[in-house]
Amino acid sequence: MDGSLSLVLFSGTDDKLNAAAVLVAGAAAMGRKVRVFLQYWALDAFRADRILKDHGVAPEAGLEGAELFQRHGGQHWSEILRQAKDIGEVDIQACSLSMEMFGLEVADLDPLVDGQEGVAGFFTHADGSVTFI
Amino acid sequence: MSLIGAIREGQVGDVIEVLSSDAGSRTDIPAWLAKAGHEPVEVVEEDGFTRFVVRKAR
Repeated sequence: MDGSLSLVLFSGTDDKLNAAAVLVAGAAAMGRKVRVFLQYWALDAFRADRILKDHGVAPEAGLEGAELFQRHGGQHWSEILRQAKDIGEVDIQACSLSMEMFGLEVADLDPLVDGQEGVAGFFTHADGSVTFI
Repeated sequence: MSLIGAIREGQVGDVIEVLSSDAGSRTDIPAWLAKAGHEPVEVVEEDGFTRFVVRKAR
């Protein structure tokens, strides 16, 4: 019941990042330790200089879904994650392979990201199942 | 989230009122209160939102 939540974020669209942020915040609120591993487009969305830009929505949203998501509003996913880190134990790590692919340093990322590690490092800390978004 | 912040900053015994228009709060707030060990005082359905009154118990 009190296990940790391990999330791998791959997608960089605002709808998926928002869904992930809500899961993280809920788990943190319920006292679960959360570990988040950022790969590919999700990592790209955490760049300090573009975290607040429009990252679009997943293709299955279609035009109507995209409008619905925009209208629904609510807090930006980065703000939800900030609050989650404030209320609970949430560790966000960048995948070092993706960092290398993008030519990024940790300093290029938003301060929400605590550091970078390899896949083996992630599995050293992640216990139980991993959810992939 | 704002409830958690208010509970953290308050003193034991403080009564806090939260207004939420999110239907999920009807289950989420009681679940969190039970987990965190705080006391639900009152839940009132208003027009378009729900009013939760809770007491910081520890």
